[in-house]
Amino acid sequence: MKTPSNLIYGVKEKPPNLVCLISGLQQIAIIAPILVLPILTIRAGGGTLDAATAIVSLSLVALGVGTILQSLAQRWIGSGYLISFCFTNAYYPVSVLAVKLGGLPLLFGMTLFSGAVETLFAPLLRRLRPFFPAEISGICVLLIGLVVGLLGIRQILGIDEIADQSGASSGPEIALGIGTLAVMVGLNVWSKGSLRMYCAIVGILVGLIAGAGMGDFNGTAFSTTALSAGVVALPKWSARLPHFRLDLVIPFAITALACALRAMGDITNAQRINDSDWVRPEMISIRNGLFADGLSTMVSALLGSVGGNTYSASVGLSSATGVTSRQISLWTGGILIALSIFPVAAAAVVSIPRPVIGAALLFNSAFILISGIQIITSRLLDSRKTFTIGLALVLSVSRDVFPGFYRAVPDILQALVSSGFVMGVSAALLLNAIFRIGVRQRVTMKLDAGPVNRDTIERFFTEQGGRWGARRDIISRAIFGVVQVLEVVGDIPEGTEIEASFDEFNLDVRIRYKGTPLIIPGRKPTPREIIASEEGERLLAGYLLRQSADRVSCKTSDSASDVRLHYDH
Amino acid sequence: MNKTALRMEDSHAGSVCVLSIGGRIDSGNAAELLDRLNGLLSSGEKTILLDFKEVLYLTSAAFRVLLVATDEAERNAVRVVLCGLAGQVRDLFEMGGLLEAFTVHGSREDALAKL
Repeated sequence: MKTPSNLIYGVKEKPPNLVCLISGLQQIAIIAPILVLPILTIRAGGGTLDAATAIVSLSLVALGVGTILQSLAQRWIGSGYLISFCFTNAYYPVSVLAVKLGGLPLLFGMTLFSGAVETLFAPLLRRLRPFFPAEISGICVLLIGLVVGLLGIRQILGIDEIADQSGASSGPEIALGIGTLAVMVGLNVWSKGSLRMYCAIVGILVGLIAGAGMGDFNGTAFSTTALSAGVVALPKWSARLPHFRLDLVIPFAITALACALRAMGDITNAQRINDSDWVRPEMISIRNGLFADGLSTMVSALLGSVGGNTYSASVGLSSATGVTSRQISLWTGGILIALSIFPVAAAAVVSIPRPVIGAALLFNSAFILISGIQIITSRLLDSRKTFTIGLALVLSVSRDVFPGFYRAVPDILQALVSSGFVMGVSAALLLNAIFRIGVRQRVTMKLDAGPVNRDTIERFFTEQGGRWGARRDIISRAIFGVVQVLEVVGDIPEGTEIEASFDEFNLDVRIRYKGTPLIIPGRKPTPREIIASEEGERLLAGYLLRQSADRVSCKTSDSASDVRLHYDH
Repeated sequence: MNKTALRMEDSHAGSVCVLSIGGRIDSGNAAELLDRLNGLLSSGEKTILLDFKEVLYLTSAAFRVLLVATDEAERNAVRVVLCGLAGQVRDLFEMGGLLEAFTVHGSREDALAKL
């Protein structure tokens, strides 16, 4: 990993405490508009105002825990990047349905289920990698950029789709949004150092002051939280048993998959921002990030709130400010948890004027969109990928251009066409799966009896690797693997057959010969064992094969042995 | 000349005998390497630096030769040190858990500065 020169503090660096504090506050400022989602969900589902306000504080705890979990770089959990956890529009329709059908116990149960689906999907990701290639992550990031940008425009123009209301901002409110955006963009483009780092929060502060001067203050949100809960109050948690409904399993599972894809896109974006040598998504970080994302949704459910997801605007903000240190996540999470005992502070955050929040979202969307385009174009785009990307994007846009048509789609398919994002990503996944037909190429060579002809093996793999566009390091590992196998099996009178098959994600090599099977030990032989006899050398050979290939197996039938070496590509 | 064929060339840097190795080392030529190392041991060298910078890959046969030669060297109070391990060659040492079995330095310059 090579830290790009445009970053002021990279992911592994530890900025001064003041930078962490202000960057954490910037992250919270852009989360602010989404903090109303749990309230809106419960109220839209027929829940009381008291029930809605009660979950605000615990929701802050859920966001704090989720943000910290995502920043961990542990063996099984956390992508290791600065990506805030936030409530998501993706959960809104299904959560409202759950509250309407079974109240908070059903919302709790189904959100818990959804989080579990995402955590279970995480370990399968490596095996399923061909079905989730980088260009689909790029499509996710691009569509997320569009969603965030459109959300920003809705906030500036006063069109609130979530609350199922329509309306328009006044001229001064629109001017407030444009002015705030101009401050952020201006500071980002023409300033350096601290001003560039804090361009988002400076823009928000300028917008807040200007908004207060204009009398634009979200008093409703403020009164529903602070005035009813007080200035300082410990979060109240109510124990309840989870309820489940079979007919909600598919909608919640699809939502979980959509969140997993969005998380994949966000983590891929974070990887690309933090590594100037970035070539392809790093799957372990994505797997652990998905696990953290699913677990965070489960924590949110346990605390009585709604499902959440990685927040794309958070990645956009870190890219814009040049501060991507994972330390910021700890501060962001810590501040969010601390805010949970100050309902008045949470209310103040929720009360930032909508046009100001809209400007911040629009500002971030530009960075997210460009990241998506860069991820897509970083791949060699053949005709398969061209159709996958092009058709998926057009279908996604068609959802918002022709909403009437999609509303008439049968109920069973409604979850798939519930938003342009879900529709575009689902279409990309389906097309990618279809286009995998016929993608695998296979070649075979026969080696005659006699000493191992290494030159022939090297030429065969190097030439084929060149034709396939395979990575040189993977071809080198395969050459080593084949030579090592043939050295151990020795001279075979009937000769040896080598078959290599390749697609963009896998290189598989089969070596068939008449003879005793290869021993592939589970433990590494000691230097003493290796020195002591040629048997020790054979054990080392098997052990090296096990370590150098991503999978290795040896089967025998009718005195014929079949060694299979698999390399992830 | 075939660039993957085993190449060996020795030289001296002070009291250190440096053996530069190139190409691939496998069961077909591991015996050549063993002969060369035995020759250096029997010629009275006290410190032998093996530079793997030009090595493409090595198989289990090569590892065995290196372990046998190092074992023999220890018995004769001769130091055998490795340097220039990079890319796939270093990966193979790591995979086999063999980095701990040898004294390894980064580059030839690093090794000579410490010997």
